[in-house]
Amino acid sequence: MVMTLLRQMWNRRRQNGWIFLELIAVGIFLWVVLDPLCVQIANKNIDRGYEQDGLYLLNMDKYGKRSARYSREYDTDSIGLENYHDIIRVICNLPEVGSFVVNESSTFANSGSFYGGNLYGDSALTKDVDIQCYWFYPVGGSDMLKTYRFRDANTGEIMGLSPDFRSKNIVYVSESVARRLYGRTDVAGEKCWLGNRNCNEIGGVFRDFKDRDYNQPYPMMVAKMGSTIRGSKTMHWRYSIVFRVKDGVDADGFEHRFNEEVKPALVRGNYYCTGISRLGEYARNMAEMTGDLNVVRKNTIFAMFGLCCVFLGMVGTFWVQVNARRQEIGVMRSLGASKYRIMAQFIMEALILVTVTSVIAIAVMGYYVHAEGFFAKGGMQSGEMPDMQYWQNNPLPHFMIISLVMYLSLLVISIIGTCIPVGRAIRELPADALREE
Amino acid sequence: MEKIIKLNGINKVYRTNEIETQALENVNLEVGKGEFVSIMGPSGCGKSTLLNIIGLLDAPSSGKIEINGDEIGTHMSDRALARFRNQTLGFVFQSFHLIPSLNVMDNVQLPLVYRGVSHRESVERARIVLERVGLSHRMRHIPSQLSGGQCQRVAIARAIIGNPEIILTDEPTGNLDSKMGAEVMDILHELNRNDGRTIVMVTHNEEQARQTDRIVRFFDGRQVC
Repeated sequence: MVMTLLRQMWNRRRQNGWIFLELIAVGIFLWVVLDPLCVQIANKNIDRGYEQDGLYLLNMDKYGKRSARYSREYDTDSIGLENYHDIIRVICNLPEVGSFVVNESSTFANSGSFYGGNLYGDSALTKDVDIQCYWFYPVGGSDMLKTYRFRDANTGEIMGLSPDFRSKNIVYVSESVARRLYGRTDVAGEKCWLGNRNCNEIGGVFRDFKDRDYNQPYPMMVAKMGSTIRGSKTMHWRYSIVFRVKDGVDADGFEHRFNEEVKPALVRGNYYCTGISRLGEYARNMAEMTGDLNVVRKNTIFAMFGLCCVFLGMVGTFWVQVNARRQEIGVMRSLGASKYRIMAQFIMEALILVTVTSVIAIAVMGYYVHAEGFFAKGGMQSGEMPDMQYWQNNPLPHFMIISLVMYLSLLVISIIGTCIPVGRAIRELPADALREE
Repeated sequence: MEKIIKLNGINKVYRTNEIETQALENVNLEVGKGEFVSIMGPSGCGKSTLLNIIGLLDAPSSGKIEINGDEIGTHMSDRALARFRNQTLGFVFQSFHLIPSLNVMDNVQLPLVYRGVSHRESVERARIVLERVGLSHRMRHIPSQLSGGQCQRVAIARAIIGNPEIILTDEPTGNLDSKMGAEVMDILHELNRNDGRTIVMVTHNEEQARQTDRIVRFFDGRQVC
């Protein structure tokens, strides 16, 4: 039957020519737009490495000199420091707050900044690793691991700071850092060197952590910037306070209470609270600002457009073909073909068309990405360190998955585009189909 | 003679928003097994409509159709209707209705393909019927490469490949010259005489009709004799 169908399609190659060319063009177009979309979605679906729900960022500001509430008397580093400590105390003493962390300027998830460095193993044989650093200050119980709920790479347990964290040079590294430096993740107690200058002890290894929702986890280190914060004129942006409410706290109720009761009272000297942001919202705003969401939107629209073209093309082509082949459908029914059988034949034709055209489109894209060096570089910039555990960093699986998604998208749309006109045609009485010819 | 086709009170009305046309009015017809019946009448008298109703290609507005003692019609599922058409009926149309993108062999095999017969067997049986209609040398040709007479012989081969008991043929010689028409009629007579197939033929040709066992005449949707 398939051979008969192939012969029949070959004999009708002129009638199929237009949709054939259209499918190839749309296949290539779809591949191009689906590629970044799939990568973005795959990146988004990688575990963040922390629990975003329940995390809040405290938004602080400072009265400027032109403000009526500005006080020159409070605008000293020592009073500012005292005031800021007071603000930290207020937050950590809120009954709803379970834990908090005072971060160095913009070194927290979705902050939009990148504080990088190089970490070396304790052997001349190991290469250094480019890392992203999260710095924080362990003041008044500030604990980044506990607040973000970093999970131990070996046990899966939520991590906490080592008791001697304040007194020793202890750092925590992500599992990708541990693997690259030591080839394993049970490296607590090992030595490492930051920037080849400071010797640190590894306090633990946490699961890979995503700084931004649409990025892949980057090799990361968490460490203290110092034992305490220092007074300055710009403490409100230098020291970001992130806190987590206790499990079971109603988020809406807490936010309402905070805005009604806590925020108005949270004014210390020239520093005042402007509100709180859920870290999820913050992450979304960051994705907006960095254009990550726009890439997703743009490519989704392009992909939808491509699929709409295929849909309309298939419906239109099959509409014309089915109308031209109504007599044929009548003949098939007079010879004993059931409606199901006729539908199956047309779907098979669509499947063959889509398969052949997809193979051509994939071959064209394969040649193109090969010529562009996709397979040589793994789709990454040379300075980056692709983590091969993700398919999007492996050239061959990446190419195969995008090609498969493209093929399946075309197939589904084509089948729908075929079923509508064919379904309409086979509902007619065979005599009517034969009569019109 | 055992009756293979029984039509009882068949009416067919075509309705549009504006007009209602009675194509068939209270048709009662019986056809015996192995009989060769001609249906004659002026254009538009309902001959082809009747043939389509017998062949389950069209549905009557009212009335009962029995074939081989079983009542058939729209109460049957699509699959059952398809199976019935495939196994009991063979059609030969005036304009051949071959599938233009299939070659002769593929066209002739179609009823067996729909029946689920193996490829090898359907090829073998197609060869036999094509030899029988004298077209074994044209198996790989497509319909556009054949003459009208050859196309009609292919259509006959397609109609008989599944060994149906009844062949329904709608002006089989209408598009053929007299020589080719005679050849086609010879084949139909042979199928009737030698194989015992029941044939119901719609025709305008009085001479061809006289060669059959019985003539049924229609006028304005009514059976007049």
